[in-house]
Amino acid sequence: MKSKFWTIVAALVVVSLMLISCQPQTVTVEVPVKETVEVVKEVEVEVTKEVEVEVEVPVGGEAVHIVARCKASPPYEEGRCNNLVSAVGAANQALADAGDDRRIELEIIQDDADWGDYKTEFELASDAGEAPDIICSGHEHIGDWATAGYLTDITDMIGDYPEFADVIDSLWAATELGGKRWGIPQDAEARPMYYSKPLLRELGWTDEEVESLDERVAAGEFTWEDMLDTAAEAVEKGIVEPGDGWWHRPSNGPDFLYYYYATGGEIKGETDALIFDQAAALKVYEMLYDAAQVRNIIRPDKLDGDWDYHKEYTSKFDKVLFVFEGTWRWASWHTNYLTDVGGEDYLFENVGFAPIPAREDGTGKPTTLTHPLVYMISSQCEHPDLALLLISKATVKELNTTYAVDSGHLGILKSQSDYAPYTSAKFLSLTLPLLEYTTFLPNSPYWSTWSEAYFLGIQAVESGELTPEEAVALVVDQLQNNLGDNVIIR
Amino acid sequence: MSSTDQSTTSGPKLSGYKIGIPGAVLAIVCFFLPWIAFIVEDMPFASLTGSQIASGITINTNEGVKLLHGSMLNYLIPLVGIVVLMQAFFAYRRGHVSRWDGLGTIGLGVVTLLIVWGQFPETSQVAERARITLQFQYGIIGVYLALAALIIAGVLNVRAATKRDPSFGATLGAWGFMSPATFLVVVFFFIPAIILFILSMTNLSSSNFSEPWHFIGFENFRRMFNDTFFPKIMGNTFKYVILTLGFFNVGLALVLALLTSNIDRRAGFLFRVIWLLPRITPSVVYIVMWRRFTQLPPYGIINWFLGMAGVEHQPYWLNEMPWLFVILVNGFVGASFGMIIFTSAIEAIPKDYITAAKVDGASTWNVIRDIILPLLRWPLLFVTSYQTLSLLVSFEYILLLTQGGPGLFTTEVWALTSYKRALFTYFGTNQWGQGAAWGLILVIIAITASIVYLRVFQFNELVQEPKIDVL
Repeated sequence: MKSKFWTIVAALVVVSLMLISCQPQTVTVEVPVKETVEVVKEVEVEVTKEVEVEVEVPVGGEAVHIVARCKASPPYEEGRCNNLVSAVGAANQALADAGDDRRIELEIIQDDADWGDYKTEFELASDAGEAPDIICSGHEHIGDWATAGYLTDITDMIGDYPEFADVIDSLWAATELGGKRWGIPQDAEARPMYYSKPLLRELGWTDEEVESLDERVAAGEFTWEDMLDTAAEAVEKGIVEPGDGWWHRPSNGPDFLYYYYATGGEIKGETDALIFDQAAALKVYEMLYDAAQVRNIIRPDKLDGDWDYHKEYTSKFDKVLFVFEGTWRWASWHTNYLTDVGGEDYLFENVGFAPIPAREDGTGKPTTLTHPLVYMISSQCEHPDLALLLISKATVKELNTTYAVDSGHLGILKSQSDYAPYTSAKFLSLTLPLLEYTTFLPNSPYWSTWSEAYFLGIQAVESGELTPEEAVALVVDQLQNNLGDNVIIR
Repeated sequence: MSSTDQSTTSGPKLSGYKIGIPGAVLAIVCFFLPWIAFIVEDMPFASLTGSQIASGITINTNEGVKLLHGSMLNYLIPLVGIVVLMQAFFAYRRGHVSRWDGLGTIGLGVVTLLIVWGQFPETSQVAERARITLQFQYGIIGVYLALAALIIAGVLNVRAATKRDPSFGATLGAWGFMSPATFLVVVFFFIPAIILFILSMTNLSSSNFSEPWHFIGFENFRRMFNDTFFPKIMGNTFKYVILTLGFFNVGLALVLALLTSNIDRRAGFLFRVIWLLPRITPSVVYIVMWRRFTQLPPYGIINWFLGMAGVEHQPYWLNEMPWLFVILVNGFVGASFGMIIFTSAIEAIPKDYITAAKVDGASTWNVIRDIILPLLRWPLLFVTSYQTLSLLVSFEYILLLTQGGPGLFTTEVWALTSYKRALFTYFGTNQWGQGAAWGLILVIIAITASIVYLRVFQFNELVQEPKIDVL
């Protein structure tokens, strides 16, 4: 017994010692004159691509390691981080030209995580002191992250990089919070009204009327109310099934905010508190109640969250007359559902697009909404100037156009409007003017709560559970309960 | 080996300290003596002791070279050494080791080991940045050796104390058997429940996650009780738990167990395997199947059959009857658990009872009502209480199936609200404090339900020794 006990004890001690001594040894390495920088790129959770970039570091110089984190659906959107990789050479050349001895070595982490997980990951990493230097994410996250102190204020640094002067001016609004700028626009899109040309013709419209619809919408002649009347007529005449006159997305999202903007609603005021304009919201809810519960224009259960059904059902434009969707859906429709009927050509032949029509009882102007992604620099980044330099070299028409064309997003640079590779992408160049009508989500830490409450009202009236007036009262109650002084009810 | 034999032949007196005293001395030496030179970026910077290495220091090389913090832990391990030496001294004076000499030494050793272990990654990073890895490893080996010696000494002391007082051994054995379960309950229930309670008093969210916690009292609870949908969600939760439990997790489970144990054994086995399929199917795949099942034409399978039967009304069934499907989807998964427990309990009933009853002319219904069901009281209590608690906190199938909809909170249950507040909004603003408040209510309901069940089913009577054996 005794000898067994001691044998076990001795064995345990020996194993423990072996385990301890297995720690990796560190060898001191002098900074080499020329070194190979490994760029590790994670495409999927398990797939990792490696790209090697040669970086010359002058004697006595410093290689600065920068980590960039992007979310992208492979392969179309991978330009988000890949453009930064492509910009490393130009950035280091600029440093060499300026006589700066530092050189950038870049590591990118890119995958297709869920937005919620992606956002939480950055928050946890920031809290642990391990945040990436650059993060590419939705601009509305500035509301939380800048407030929490996770981002570097780059307002005064932007002017040092001439490339940023080419960014379309209206997009900067999306990067601002508290009068400061916290990011650089990476992409943009628009959310147009698509319409089925064959169904309009079936309704008795002449070719001229159909073809001029986009211009009439842009001029404010064909309004939101006209669209609903047309859709109702199509339902009454049996050209479309009841509930298929006009469709919006099947779940919460940025789109519903432009409904509120279109009726004259404001969300940001003088203070940090968000505004809820009851009159504007009531108009939105009345319109939706009327469309879903009275006129059979949209299905009362349209907000069922079923995207697969929604995408497939709308793809051919032979069943639904008007669809409020995003510009990126264009590529998704023709690549996933229409390859056997002619792909993109089918869409150009049968589908038109225009800004979201003006509401007569609202602003009277057509609208749309852009939700740009922005590159942001972590407050933990030790060399924000280098991070920004790298972003500036990725914010050029050559790189951004490749990304935009591949991914179906709009350009973000003024110079893209007459840049041949961009203009030859027909859909992109036709939809770029939509940015003229664009609006944004607010950058505010209270936006998410505001949006959840406002969306409750939309669900309530469409499903017929509440009248528009009751819905407004419910939303006010929810907002006051959850946001307190941080919401102003008008 | 001979020294150990010697220690036991000379009585249990000081056997532990054969190794305990060297261990204590080693601890003190290891932590005071190895003065390690820190060289940061080729510049000699500082000399530190093993205790400082083991207890966590941070060097910031960007703003020059700076020692950010030392720590109380610097003194921990030498202190342990001194305590053990003092113990040895008093034990020597007393002439024997007590149970606390043993347990105390083990406790001190294990706690210190955990602390050093927890600090290891950070200190090893510091050591790597300062390029002193090799010396650091020697230091760490010394630390672990000393702590191993201490723990072994404690074990030896416990053995010595057990020999002096065998009843101590029995007590120790009982605690030993209970300790894994106790450890798990403490780590995975009590500590999280306490953290949940503290969290529910804060306004922790995405926008203030980087700051220290702001305590806002019962504000989260005020908001929760004032929420327009509070009664609806509460009602939904009870509806969900009671209906799923009654019809499926207990009801159908019992029926399945009775049926499959009364038919041919192989056929019964086959049916039980079929009923296990929903449980072993990955939840996302399972829900995708259900969604397709209930989908509109031309995709939905139910509507496909209805179409063949010439039925005109072909809606999206998840929107038409959300509750039916929420309960079916959860119930089909839940029924298999009770089915297995009940079947094994039924199989364990001695056949003599049933044979005797049948000889007396009992019908199958009589056998079930008067013999099987009374003997299933214990498994019934277990399945009912366990499944109540499982259902109260389960929301994943509802999240995947309806997300709490359609419309306004139609199928939203308590756990889903808690999850949504804490982690699931479209725009990703997480409100952990608010979510914790909702979650805490669930903990309270669950504990209350457990107590009620234990009272109603008279748990104490069920676990008493059978009276027939006492006689």
